[in-house]
Amino acid sequence: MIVNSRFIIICLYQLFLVFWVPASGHSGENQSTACIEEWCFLVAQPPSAWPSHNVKNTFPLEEKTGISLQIPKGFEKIYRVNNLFIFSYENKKSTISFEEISKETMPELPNDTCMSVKDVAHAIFTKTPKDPDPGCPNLWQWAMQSKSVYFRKDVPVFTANKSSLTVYYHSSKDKFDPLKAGSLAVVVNEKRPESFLVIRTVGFSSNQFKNIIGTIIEVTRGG
Amino acid sequence: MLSATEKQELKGILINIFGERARQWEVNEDSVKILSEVLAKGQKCSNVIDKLPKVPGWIPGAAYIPKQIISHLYKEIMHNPHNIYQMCQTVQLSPYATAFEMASLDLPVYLPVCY
Repeated sequence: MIVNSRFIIICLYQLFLVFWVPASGHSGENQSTACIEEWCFLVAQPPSAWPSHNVKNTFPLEEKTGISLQIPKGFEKIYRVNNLFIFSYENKKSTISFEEISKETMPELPNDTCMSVKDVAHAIFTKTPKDPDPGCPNLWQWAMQSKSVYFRKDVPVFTANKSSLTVYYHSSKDKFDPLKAGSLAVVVNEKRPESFLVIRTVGFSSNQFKNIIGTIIEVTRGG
Repeated sequence: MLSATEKQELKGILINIFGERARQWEVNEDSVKILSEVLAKGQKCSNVIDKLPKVPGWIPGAAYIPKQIISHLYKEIMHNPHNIYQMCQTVQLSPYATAFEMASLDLPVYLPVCY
């Protein structure tokens, strides 16, 4: 009788495994389990010097997230689409785009309140799913998922700080056109906690991109 | 070069995934590359994408999408009101929307959009 009971318990346990494991594996509901990809566990390099720059042949821009910067002169067209500003050069061969991420520009951003949007940006680059959730499960999950946008295999993400600003940036090659370089930077301003800025370039060299990043300064008004 | 039917079907697929904003997008060869990456990302979480027909020599994420895959997806969304991505809580769609906007303007897109 004891043997029979044990047998039944083992069978029930095996049945549970057969039905429970595939169900949880496909739903993606448990993010800490689902996020097993390499990019989930990458973080940015420790802060290094702010990139050097040269303002020759540049054009000044001021962004509403509280920064200004210099972009190369010679753009031919400016596009405005939703929260995207795009400058195109050389008959659309290269572009610089600016995208503001905030709860206003991205309604799908979870509405948790224990993390500001700038905290989310820092979490993307400095935390992994192994770190404790600060109490905002939805925003935390969004931040961890966003790592796939900013991290690439064997492409380090650099960090630099200057006054209230932190910039995380990398340069990489296009998957289908390795001659085409794409670079990306996220600029966080501690004084504007409810937004961050994503800068993307396509068709500019890594040095040209770093020169653009190097010109970023904080805008201060009214002393 | 995409045929008029393929463009129409691709647009239908994008509206299913991204909603009404996709109605304004022009679709072109870059849109196909981006959609192929979206399909690759969705394989693990979308039943619709998981059950795409097997086409010899093609995998989601390649630089093109065979005509029969586009038709299959289009028919699937026409017969099923659910979103292709309804189960995909692990896929960030907003960066792809930005990429489709860029492609729509015939501007260069940096791929992969997500790793």
